[in-house]
Amino acid sequence: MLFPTVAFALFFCVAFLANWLLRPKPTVWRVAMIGLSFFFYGYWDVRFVTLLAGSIVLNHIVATALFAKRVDGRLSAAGRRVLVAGVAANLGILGFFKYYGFFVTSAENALGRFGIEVGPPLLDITLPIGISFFTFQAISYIVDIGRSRFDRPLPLLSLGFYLSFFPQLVAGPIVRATDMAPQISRRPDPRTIPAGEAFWLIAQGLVKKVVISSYLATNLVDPVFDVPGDHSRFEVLLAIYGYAIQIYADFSGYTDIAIGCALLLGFRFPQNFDSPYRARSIAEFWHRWHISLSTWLRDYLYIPLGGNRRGRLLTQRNLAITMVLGGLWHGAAWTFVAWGAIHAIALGVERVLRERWRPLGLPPRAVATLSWLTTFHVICAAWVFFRADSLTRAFELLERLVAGGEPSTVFSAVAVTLIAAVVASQFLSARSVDRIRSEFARAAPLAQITLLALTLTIIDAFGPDGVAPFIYFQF
Amino acid sequence: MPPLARSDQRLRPVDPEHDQRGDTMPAGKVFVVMVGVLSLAALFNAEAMLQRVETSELGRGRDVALWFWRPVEAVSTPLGFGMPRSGVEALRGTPGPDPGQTVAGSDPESSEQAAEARGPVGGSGQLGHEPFIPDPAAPTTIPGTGGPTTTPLDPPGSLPGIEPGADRPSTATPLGLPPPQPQPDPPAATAPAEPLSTPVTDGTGTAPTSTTPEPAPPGSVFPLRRPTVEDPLRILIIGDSTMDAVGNSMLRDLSNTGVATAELDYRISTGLSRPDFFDWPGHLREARAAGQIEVVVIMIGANDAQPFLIDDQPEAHGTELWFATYRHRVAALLDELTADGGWVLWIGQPVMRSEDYSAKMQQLNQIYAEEISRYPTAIYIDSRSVMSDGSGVYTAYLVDGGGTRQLVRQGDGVHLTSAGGDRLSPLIVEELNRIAPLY
Repeated sequence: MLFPTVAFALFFCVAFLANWLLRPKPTVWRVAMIGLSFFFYGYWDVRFVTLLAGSIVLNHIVATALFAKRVDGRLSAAGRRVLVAGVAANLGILGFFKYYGFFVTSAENALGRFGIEVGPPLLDITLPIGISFFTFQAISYIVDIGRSRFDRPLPLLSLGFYLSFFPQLVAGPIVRATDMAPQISRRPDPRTIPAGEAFWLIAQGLVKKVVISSYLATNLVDPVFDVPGDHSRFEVLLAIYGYAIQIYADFSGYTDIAIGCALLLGFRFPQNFDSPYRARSIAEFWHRWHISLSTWLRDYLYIPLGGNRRGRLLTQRNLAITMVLGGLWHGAAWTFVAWGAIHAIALGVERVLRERWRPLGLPPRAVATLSWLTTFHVICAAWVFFRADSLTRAFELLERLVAGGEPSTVFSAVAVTLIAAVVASQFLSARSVDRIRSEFARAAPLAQITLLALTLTIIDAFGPDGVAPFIYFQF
Repeated sequence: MPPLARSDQRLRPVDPEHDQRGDTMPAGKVFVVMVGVLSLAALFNAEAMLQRVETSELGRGRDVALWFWRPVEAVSTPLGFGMPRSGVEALRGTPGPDPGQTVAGSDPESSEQAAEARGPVGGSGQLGHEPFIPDPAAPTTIPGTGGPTTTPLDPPGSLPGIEPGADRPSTATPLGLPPPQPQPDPPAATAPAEPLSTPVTDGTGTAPTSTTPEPAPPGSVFPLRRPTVEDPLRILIIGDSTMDAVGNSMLRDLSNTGVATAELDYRISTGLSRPDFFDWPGHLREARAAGQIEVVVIMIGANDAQPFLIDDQPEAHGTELWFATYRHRVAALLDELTADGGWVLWIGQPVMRSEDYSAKMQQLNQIYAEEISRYPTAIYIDSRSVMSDGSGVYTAYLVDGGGTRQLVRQGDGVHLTSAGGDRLSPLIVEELNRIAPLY
């Protein structure tokens, strides 16, 4: 079920009523909300529900076993083996559904280059939407048990609620169990819903997704990325900028709607985007882009690998492993590996420069501007690989960026304005937005209704008749 | 360590910061606002919504939606609730909803009008509009055969409807369709003497992949003409969402020839079953009038195995009348496209993962091939043999000419990946090359 649909609007009204009416009865409330989340998920394909339910049961069994293997509040050796098995099981499921075909064909093609012919069994596997997100949430839960961050396992219904909660089920944010569990057990006051902020986030997310992302994709990005040979270098450059804005609008738009819906249901999700394109370094970018993923990778991959505590060389190695695997998390293709590798290299270079390079008497403002420009263009260059259908296509596009000289055919003042406006919005203060939200929350219901209905009308009229799935659904 | 598992029944603010600022609302008021917003938005957008529902897939869902939206629209329009929407559309410069399209090519105006995001599923319904890709699980029954079929194709003419070469429903007044136009005489020096009648293959790779004239020997006149850099071959590539990958691969391949200009104009969720949703013949009439198009490449049908309206009455997919009407629509489109000597390359639907759905597509392929065989300037291209394994069975992976195994089908088992498009495109360009030398 996609967010920008009538079906979801009606579904959410039912979920909202069920949530607040049943909340005084915790067990009934949990069962009802899990049922609603399963319905939401099964709307795509009912088989997905089985997988999700299986993941919930599996991780409940692992969690229970982990607590049984604790000695003095810490995991025993047997407990650590259970944890490794639990993580492996989760990754195994993810690997089978998402990476089986990629690994098998990559291995076959690599061996074929050496004249070794193999005929591996190829399975036509449907990738369940959101599997990467709920698998990462489940892993964070059992690893946090291993790190003694829980004093008892979550009851099955609470774990089911956490892993299946529909606002964040298919495209995040990746909410940790340590954040969600207290909110599940604590009963929020139904008189204190921050509706102004929630409605603002939902409307903002819809505009980002339905209007901005769709417009840029259709009118600029897709035509150029599909056939770069037909476009000038200026258009190619514009399309690369356009994709940077498109994916930001698409993904942060989804996150805005997810956070807004969760707020209306009494849950506060962590922030997932914080004006990422204002970053002056790649490291800063990762503190602002898909924050729930970057912190997950930091806590459950980078730090366990040793982080930055074992010398420069190993730090660089850990960064590279984390970023390349982070790239692969986004999709089973070499283009995503390349995307992660570019970020890894950029982070590595940044670390070296930070230690050795001193601005040669440049004024701080000039250094800041140069840093921002460099960072933004490295990020954009990496997006080329993220968007391209193959490495060959990515290089074709970059080649066109250098060699293309044909006249413009898809230049659009609207697209340029949208790109500039979104980049400029990254530098806006949040204070003015907060003030508008507060004013909205205090307005009379009729005024709120009229304003929001007009906003929906504008979004629907300006958006395409049919919304493509969110880009991050495929991850 | 967070408090866990133990249910804490004390009420706490959802967000203490907001609560202190006093900009929170009680759940009851929030619900009233939500229902109010949806109701008022329904009134503002009733006309557009009704139009979407009317052109959505026939069935109970549509009936229920019509039952809701008709009275809403009846109230909204006279009371002027549609004015905000009209004002916004006037600002935008487009009148009412338009089926999504993705246009790639060299026409800036068309690009500006493109209204659909790139999507692999044939379009998802915004605000209630559902995609037309039919339910693959629905059983397929060809009247006269007595049951579901996944067998290889019957010989041409075995499907119900109009026999190839026989008269189509005259003026089709019962169907409300226009009479077919007379066939243009083929160019004397270029067209084959006999109508092409090679049957569509069953995808085993043993039969010819297209019904096409033999390539002209060197020095002879090509069926269409010899394009040049100064006077390139003008090609329009159209279809539903299955044309996405193929069309883009074709644009790249044709661009490399230097003697062809092509525009891709595919519309998701469209086909010939629901002209009330998108009128391809009318659209193409306008497109051909606007530009001097010489060849139309078309790939359509993936959304067509569904009921449609005949004189406002739903006709279930699979009946004799359904096939007869559909065949007539194919013929009418070919009449339109081949008028004035225009050429058509019609790409059949590939093997699909679902056997039932694949059988339905093969029924349509058979109609396309049979009708096309009657037009001297139309060529049918069988995609099944190229997009299946050696025995005509669906496969998501195929080995390319360089020995690399590639994913050629998307996860839905219907659409092609970019690599799949790259695999099919050369076949079409080669056919183009036979009628007008491109390299």
